[in-house]
Amino acid sequence: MKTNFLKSIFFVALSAALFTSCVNDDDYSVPNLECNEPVITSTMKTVQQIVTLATPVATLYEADDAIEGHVVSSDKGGNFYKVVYMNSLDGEIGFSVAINQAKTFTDYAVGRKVFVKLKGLYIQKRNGILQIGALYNGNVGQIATTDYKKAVVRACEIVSEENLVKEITLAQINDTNLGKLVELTDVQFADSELGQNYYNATNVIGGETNHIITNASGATLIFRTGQYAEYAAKPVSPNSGRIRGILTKFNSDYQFVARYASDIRLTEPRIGGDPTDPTDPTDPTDPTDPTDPTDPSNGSLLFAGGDFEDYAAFLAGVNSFGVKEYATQSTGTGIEGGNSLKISGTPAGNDYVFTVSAPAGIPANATKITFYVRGTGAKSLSLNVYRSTTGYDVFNLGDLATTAVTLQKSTEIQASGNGTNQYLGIINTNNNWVKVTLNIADVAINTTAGNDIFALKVGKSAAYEMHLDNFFIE
Amino acid sequence: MKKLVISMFFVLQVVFAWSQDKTSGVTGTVVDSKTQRPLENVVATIQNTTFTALTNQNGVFVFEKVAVGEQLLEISSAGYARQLLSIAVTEGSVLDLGTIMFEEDITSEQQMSLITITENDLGDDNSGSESTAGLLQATRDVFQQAAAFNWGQARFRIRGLDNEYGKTMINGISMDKVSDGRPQYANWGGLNDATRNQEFTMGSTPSAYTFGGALGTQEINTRASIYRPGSRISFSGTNTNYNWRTMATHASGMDKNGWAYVISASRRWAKEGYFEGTDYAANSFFASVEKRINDNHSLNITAIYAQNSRGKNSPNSDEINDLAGVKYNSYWGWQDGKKRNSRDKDVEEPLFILSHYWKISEKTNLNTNVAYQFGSIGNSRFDYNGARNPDPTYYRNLPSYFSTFHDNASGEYLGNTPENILAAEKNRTEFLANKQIDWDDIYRYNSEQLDGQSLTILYEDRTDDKQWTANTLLASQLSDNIVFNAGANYRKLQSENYQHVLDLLGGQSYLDIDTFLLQKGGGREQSDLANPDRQVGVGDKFGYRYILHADVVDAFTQFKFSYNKVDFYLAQSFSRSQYQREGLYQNGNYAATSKGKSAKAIFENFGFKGGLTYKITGRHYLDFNGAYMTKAPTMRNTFPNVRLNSNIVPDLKSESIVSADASYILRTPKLKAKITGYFSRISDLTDIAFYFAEGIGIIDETTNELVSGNGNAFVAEIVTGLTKQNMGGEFGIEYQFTSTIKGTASAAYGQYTYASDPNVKLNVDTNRSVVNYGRATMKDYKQPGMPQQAYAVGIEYRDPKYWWIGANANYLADNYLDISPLLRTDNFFKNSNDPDGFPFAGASEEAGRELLKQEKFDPVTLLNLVGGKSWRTSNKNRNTIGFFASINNVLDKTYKTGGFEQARNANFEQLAQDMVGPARSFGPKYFYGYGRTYFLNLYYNF
Repeated sequence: MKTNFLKSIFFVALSAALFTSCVNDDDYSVPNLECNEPVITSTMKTVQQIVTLATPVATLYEADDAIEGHVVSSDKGGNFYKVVYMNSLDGEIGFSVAINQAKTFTDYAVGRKVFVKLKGLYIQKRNGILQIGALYNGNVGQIATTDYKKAVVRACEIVSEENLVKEITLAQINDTNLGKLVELTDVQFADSELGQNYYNATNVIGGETNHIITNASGATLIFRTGQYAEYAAKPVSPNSGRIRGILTKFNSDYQFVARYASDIRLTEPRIGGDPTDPTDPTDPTDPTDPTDPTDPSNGSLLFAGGDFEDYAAFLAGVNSFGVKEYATQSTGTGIEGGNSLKISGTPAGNDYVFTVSAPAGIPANATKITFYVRGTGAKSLSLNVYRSTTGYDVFNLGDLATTAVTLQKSTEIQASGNGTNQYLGIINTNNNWVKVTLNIADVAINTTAGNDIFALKVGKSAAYEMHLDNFFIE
Repeated sequence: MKKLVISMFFVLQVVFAWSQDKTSGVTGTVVDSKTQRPLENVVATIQNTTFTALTNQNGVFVFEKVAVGEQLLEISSAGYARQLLSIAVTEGSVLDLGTIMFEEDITSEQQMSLITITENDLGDDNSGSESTAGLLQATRDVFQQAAAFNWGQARFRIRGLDNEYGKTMINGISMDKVSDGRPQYANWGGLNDATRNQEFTMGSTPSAYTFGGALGTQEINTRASIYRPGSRISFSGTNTNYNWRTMATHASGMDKNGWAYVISASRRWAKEGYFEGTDYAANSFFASVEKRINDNHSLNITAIYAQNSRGKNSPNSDEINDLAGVKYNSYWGWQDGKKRNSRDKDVEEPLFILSHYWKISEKTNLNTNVAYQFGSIGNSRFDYNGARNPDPTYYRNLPSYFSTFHDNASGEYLGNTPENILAAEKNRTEFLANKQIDWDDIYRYNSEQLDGQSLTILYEDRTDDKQWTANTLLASQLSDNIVFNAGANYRKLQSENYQHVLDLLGGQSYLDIDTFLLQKGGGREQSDLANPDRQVGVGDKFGYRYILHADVVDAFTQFKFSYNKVDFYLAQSFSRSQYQREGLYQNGNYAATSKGKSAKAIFENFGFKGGLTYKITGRHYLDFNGAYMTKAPTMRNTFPNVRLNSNIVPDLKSESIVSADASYILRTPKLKAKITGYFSRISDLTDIAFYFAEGIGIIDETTNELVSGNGNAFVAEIVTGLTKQNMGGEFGIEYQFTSTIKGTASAAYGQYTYASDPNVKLNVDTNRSVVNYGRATMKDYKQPGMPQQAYAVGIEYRDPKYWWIGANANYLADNYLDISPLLRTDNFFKNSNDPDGFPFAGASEEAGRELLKQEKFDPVTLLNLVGGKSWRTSNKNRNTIGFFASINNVLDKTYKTGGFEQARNANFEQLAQDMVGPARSFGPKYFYGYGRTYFLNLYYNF
């Protein structure tokens, strides 16, 4: 028995350990990343020579010539797309090469020296700059994906960006700086730009947003941002300082295009101080103070009569279906002793209690709707917030006890594009006023007076005994 | 206790008790027919009872109390031809059967050599080229033999039922994963010798271990004392998913101190399997130790460790296969002189089972098992937040990108303009010159980033499961005619899932955000708001991280009645499943619903089944089975957005399963045949498919339309209210022409269809809405991925000099492509540019039907050869050396085994445009079967 045991162990160990070769152990060493300097057999020309040859008409370049330059632009930040700006090695001339490929920064990083082999490409002087590429609709367009690597060849040299960038002031914006990496000093965004994001979908020309950069002397320059820029959703900085980017031109307008969020280096205080609010922000009775959590009257009324003091104004804003008979004005029961809307009864269906239209003066970029609830409900409430485009988003209250809640819009969307109303939940505030906040930051709420803005819905066959008050928007 | 329940189909005579309380003893000696030496650990069973006995070192078995009358005694042992003896027990005298010659069954080598072909790679690809062949090892029915050995390579599935409707167990411990209901065969891969003691039931016929499902059950018994003592080493070569295998096994048998043990180890490997770049490395180890405490109690501990690492191969479109061949794999590239595969699957989940066997009385046995399994499964892939897609088959790299060009505004076909023809040709040469992953380029641009942050990394989606299982199984002979089985089972699972950095590919760190969401602002790009803009390195968890908690309790009872003419059974089961998700990251895109514990999803399910076997005569039988059960959805189908939030599919229902079958069985000494008709209907199915959508296929959040984009969003397609209906017939016949020549024929004809129009919802990770697309017209489309017709004829010759050879020819047909539910919704016809949402001009019902027709694969004819020979190495002992060889698909036929439509062309116009020209840009992707493959196994038993 013992020898059998030993024999068996031996056999098992032998067999398993014997064959260890030829197995992929998934252990890979880093490949050799040495750079092999490309051998360019074309005749080298200077960028200046090519600029001289270029005309406003896209022309085929037939000679086997090549130029060299340093890459200055980058699509890593998402603000450039399928075009690479380069500067001649002496930094005097900027030019662009159009390439049909995304993420060209992985091929041509900023500071890399490249050779551009011109044979078979088209050159054109357009928008003030030498453009190189393929032919598309009579102008220079993108070099095909399969061709560009042979046309634009990476060399081994990389220079630091600090050696490429040129510091200039707004006064020095002219054609000689086109296509170059420049840094503007002592600039800031104009007052009119503050409060917007860098990319603002409602402020778009030619698919991108233009903001104005100014300096102390009042000179201006367009700053252009596309929707895929990594800083597109950030608010425009109110500070002053430096901005780095590529200077381009469209027809007769100069446009400044930054590459990354880190190109916007606005760290200094604003030139000329903060823009003053004509309604004096130092007034302590300012009704727009958002930091007071107990102040029940934040923002402006969501709809006329939203605090139910002026019930006639409320009724005037309700749509033709009117207000359900179990919803009435109740005096003396409001949150500050005023009036409230009382809902008392058991709806027969999933009713619209009321639907109201927007009053004048709804703020653009409103982020919250708030209102107060006191009482009980065997089911819960569902709120419709109407969009400026079509349809509405839905906020379902769910359970409500004595703590304030903030609701997000419902993520279940019908094929019609509207949200889905749900009434599941129990309301019992223990006779306290409880604040309900709807987060409408991601809702394009209707702001046009006269169009529907809000509706209140209840669940069927459930008893409601509650007061609602103070529908505000801020 | 070993019972081949399937032997009920082979009962030659019924159990017949004249006098219930009178018993006598039965004994006999089992010897090997060649050497006349006694055989130890051969299992002797009195049919339709729970009485079993093992032969001792002298080959002797003893039953003390067997009911008087005619009985059936079964003698079985792995590797030997099973024998059924009819005996007559008389009162007052012990029946001594004398010496029983036990003959070796050389064809059992084939069964031990079956390689389970690929596991189902669920996850991001809604592919699934799986087989249930693993469910069919070591069976005897001729139809099941054909299904396993002949048709398994073509992905044939018995009755069209998915693995999740079967039950696979080791010592009664369910090996089906709670997350998707399927067994992970890799958990005991490479342990064919050690797992050779298996019992099967087909369909809903009764099992002693579980209530089971509609497909059948497989129980692997690892109790150390039932293995026939001896050792075996083998060495194999093949060219399927691995190339070499070496295995060694030793079983000690029960010694006089009451100890028995079995150990086994194996290693399988390949530098490259059948498809390009598919490397394979697996090590397995098995140990089972039993201590017989006394006559009534025994304890056994089993340890299984099967580690498996393999590179996967890509499903490809017709265009790609035409350009690069059928063995093409887009997942690998050259690095360091080696083929490096970016999509590895690593499985390492050791399992320990402690079993207690208690013979409460002569009539009653109680078996209790406790098991613990832990470990991990990882599937690797690229994450390229900052760079271009490294996939060489990215749609813009292929000729079809240009040949399917249409003008955006007018819809005019431009694919045949000279420029586009030239561009397509350029793409073709570029692709052929660069058709694998360029690892060097990735390392280069990663190392060039000045901030040291990689743009592209290699990571794996990890599932680390820790599961406790406890069960108890009771078997009792209530009376001479009634056997009672019952069982209770509890499983507790904690499954942690996360992304795990494997290799930074040349950079120093990696930024854990979703760059596609950066432009939306508000922190939506963050994986974890508690840790914004985190830099991760090798070994870090990132991206998503959540734990799934599952508690599943189930119990069953079963009564089997055996009488003169009729056997019947009834069984019932109850189970309760509870699932809960615990998110560990607060995802920026789902800030309110990602972190913390979800609601509990609780399902209570029950099942009833029954059946009857009617003996017309000793040779002709009728068998009927029926079952109704409800089944909880798997965890995978409960949480549609499981990576990022705790949402549960609304109105989630349990599935309802109805199944029935009827068979006629014929058994004569020379001829055995069986014909079966079956029906099953599974309703209220919820199915969630996960995939990455690129290019066309991303939803614009504000307009809820599918638009083009260059993101790489992860999509969950939620299908609810689906009904599957499977019906058809099975036929198997076996005729012994002479004592050495046997002929077989089998046929399967099935109609597996969808029997309802389900509802489709889509959720894209980067957006926050779930869009409800409404009803998908899927009724009467065929279920995909398996041949619905299969036919086989075979012939086998067994020479008395211990060699054998066989050949079989097979015809498999009616295999269909997996359709995309999204393409069959009303959205398909809607023109999103039309302000009223009217359908496209030219979108007639006929034109739509033509475009949406389900593709049927070409039928295939497969010819297989098998054979083997063994020699005794000495006259003094049983040591044998031998080989087994098989060649599958001798004619080297190329055939598709499965495939799926890509859901990107989401409307009529886009699909119609994609069909124009020589190749489709977003055509279906296919999996192919193996061409001619061989398997050669050399073994030495001693």
